[in-house]
Amino acid sequence: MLLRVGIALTLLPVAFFTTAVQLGVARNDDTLRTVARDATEGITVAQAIKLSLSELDELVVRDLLDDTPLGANGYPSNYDQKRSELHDNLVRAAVDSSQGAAYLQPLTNIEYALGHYHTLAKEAFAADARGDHRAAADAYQQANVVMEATLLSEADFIDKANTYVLNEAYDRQQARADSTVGLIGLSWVVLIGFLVLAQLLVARMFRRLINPPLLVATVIAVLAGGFALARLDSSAGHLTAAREQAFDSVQVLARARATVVSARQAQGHLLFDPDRGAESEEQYQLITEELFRVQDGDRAVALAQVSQGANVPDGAGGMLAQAAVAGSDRRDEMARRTVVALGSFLAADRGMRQMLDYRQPDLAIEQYRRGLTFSQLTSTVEEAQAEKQAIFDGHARRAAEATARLDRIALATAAAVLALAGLGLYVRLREYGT
Amino acid sequence: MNRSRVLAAVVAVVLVAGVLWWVGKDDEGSAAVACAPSEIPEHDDTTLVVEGDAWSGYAPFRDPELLQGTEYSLLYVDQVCQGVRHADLTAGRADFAVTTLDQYLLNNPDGTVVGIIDQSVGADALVLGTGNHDELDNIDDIPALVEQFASAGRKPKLAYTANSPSEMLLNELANTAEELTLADFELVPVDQSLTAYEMLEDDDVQLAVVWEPETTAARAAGHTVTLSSADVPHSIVDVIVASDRLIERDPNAVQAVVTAFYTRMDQLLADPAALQAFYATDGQLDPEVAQQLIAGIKLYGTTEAAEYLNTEVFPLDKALMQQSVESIESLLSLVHPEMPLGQAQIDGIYVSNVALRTRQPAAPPPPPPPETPADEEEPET
Repeated sequence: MLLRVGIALTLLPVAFFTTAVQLGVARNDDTLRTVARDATEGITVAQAIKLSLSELDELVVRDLLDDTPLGANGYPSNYDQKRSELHDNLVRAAVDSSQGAAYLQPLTNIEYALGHYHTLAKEAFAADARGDHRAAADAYQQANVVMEATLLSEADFIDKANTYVLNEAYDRQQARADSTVGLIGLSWVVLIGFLVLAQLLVARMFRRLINPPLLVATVIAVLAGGFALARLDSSAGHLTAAREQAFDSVQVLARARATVVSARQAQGHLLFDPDRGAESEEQYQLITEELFRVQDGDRAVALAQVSQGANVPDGAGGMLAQAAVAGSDRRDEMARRTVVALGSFLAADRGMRQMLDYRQPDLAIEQYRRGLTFSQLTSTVEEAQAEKQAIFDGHARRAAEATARLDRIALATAAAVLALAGLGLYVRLREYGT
Repeated sequence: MNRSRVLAAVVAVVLVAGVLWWVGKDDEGSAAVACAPSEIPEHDDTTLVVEGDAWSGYAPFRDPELLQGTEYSLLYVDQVCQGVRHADLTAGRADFAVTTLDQYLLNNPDGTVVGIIDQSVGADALVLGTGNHDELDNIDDIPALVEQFASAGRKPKLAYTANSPSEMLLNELANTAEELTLADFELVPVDQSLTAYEMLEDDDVQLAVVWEPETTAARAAGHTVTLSSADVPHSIVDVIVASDRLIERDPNAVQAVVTAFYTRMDQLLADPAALQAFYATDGQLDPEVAQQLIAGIKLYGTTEAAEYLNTEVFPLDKALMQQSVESIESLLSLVHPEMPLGQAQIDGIYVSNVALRTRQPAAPPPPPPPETPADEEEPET
């Protein structure tokens, strides 16, 4: 009777253990899917939209400065190309993003306001083509307001929504991690305890020292539990590294990339419409402070010191400063180089403004057209972004690999333990019968 | 089948199901706060019940003489619980609720937004505990604070009022400012702004989200007010919500309240000294504190309110109220996926009527609002 009950009761700890592991794997995979794929892709798409929008706005002012020839539809060909790129990103966002108001509403608003932007840009191009500089500047000013106040902030909202989902999923995983590990640990101990107890009882009843099938089942259970816990721990560790060490930098550098284009747009706006110089100057200062700022002292001095090898100063803020000191590693060389590149960009900008002060706008426009420091800055930011993205992807991949097939292994283990324990007890049951 | 095996299998299934339930249940637990029902005194049919809380923006509704000269009287009932406030509106126990737009959307009562009261433009803020941490006087110092706590294996604490606009502001700020990452903090939900401020004073928390008058008090105590509602415009908007029952039964009563409120606001906004004295008296504040409080709120008179509710604004070609609703709804849907969308009802006709009268004082009264019974008279205002 006792042996029959023992065989039946074997189901209990085995089912408990298998369920606990399955649950842990499911939770882990769910978080990985959200953090490492859905939300990060959503943020990437949101930033791609923002970058395309910023580039479109910068392109308009550059085309206006260059008197770029217009096509039959009233736009320069490079504008059409950029518009098409933006459209592709919007479609990608609509297809890939999770369904919900937080994602769809800003996309709808962007689509709607973009129509107004195109119209105003076309008016600016048309006025410029007929030599009416004032009308062109006024139309572009309106277009720029639509871009800054509506389009870019709506793109930010998509980023915000995805960031929220990512943080929620990650925080939830962190909060549940202890209970998941505790549950698996408990089920593991219960399973091993049951098998050891069965071994002891069988030994006592039948005066045999060891029941080999039960012993093998116990060994398998010990190895499987340890393996599952180690794999889940490894996966959680990589996820933490991906989120806390790499992702913030990826995101902040993506934001910085679009912001750098906005800074260049503000430069172009100043050159095309000097009558609104004060506004352009204020906008430029605000934008570049979003990239890098210091609390005490002069920003130019701090940037010069960084370019000579100094660390980013304590208390420095802004996107590039944040990327440079992310993870408390002030020797992050790649991210530090973005700060150095920003220093060059700002120095060149000061030179350009001096040319304007000396009434040499043509020289200033020529320097703007060349845009050497701008190109250096954007390529440096992109390199840093790619480097951080690779780190993030590496951690995310290893986090996924750590738990790959763990659920199947747990099931196979359960089947083996169940079969061996059943066999061990059944053999004794038959002996007892004879 | 062997009875013992069946029994064991049943025990196994029950136990496993129990464990699954225990593990799968919500880790956060229930954050529900026990709310007392509203204490509404006996009143006659012409008494209109307005439920709200102690927020200064609602001060005009606390004046029992607001509806003087009309056939109605006003009864202001304090109800701090937003859920109860909105439930009262749906059940017909209250005729109006004064509330924030996010709470209206979240609680989805049978009510319609008929006016805007104010918008927080700095009154709600994230405060750094500079008083206890000299080095913490700038948002750019947050990473260093996090680093300092991390080296001791801890996280700095941040207090905020749960289930309130503070919670929404915190989410907005965290997703707007790169410097603030909620995962870096141990979040401490509290019952009210004053509690958050007291914890900041006692260094139980290093950051706190507070609203006026604590924002001003924190500044005076040497703490640093950093990010605020001014950084996320249109996110904390106070509105007048009329019960759908009242709108159906007596739209003139709705018009009377809207007219009286905006008339009072127009008078106050035209006289800054009176405005300051009014809010100082209502909140039992020093005049200077009242002045700072007013500086952190954008108050709406008739014209601006009518525009906010009714005028389509370029380039989205929607009224600002509609834009606020869509923006707040989108954000809330992230935090509360179960929240119904597209349920907000906005009716700008009442404030339009007031604006029309303001612009054309000599003109005959405007047509009554929709669904006015033919035999009812226009309310006196």
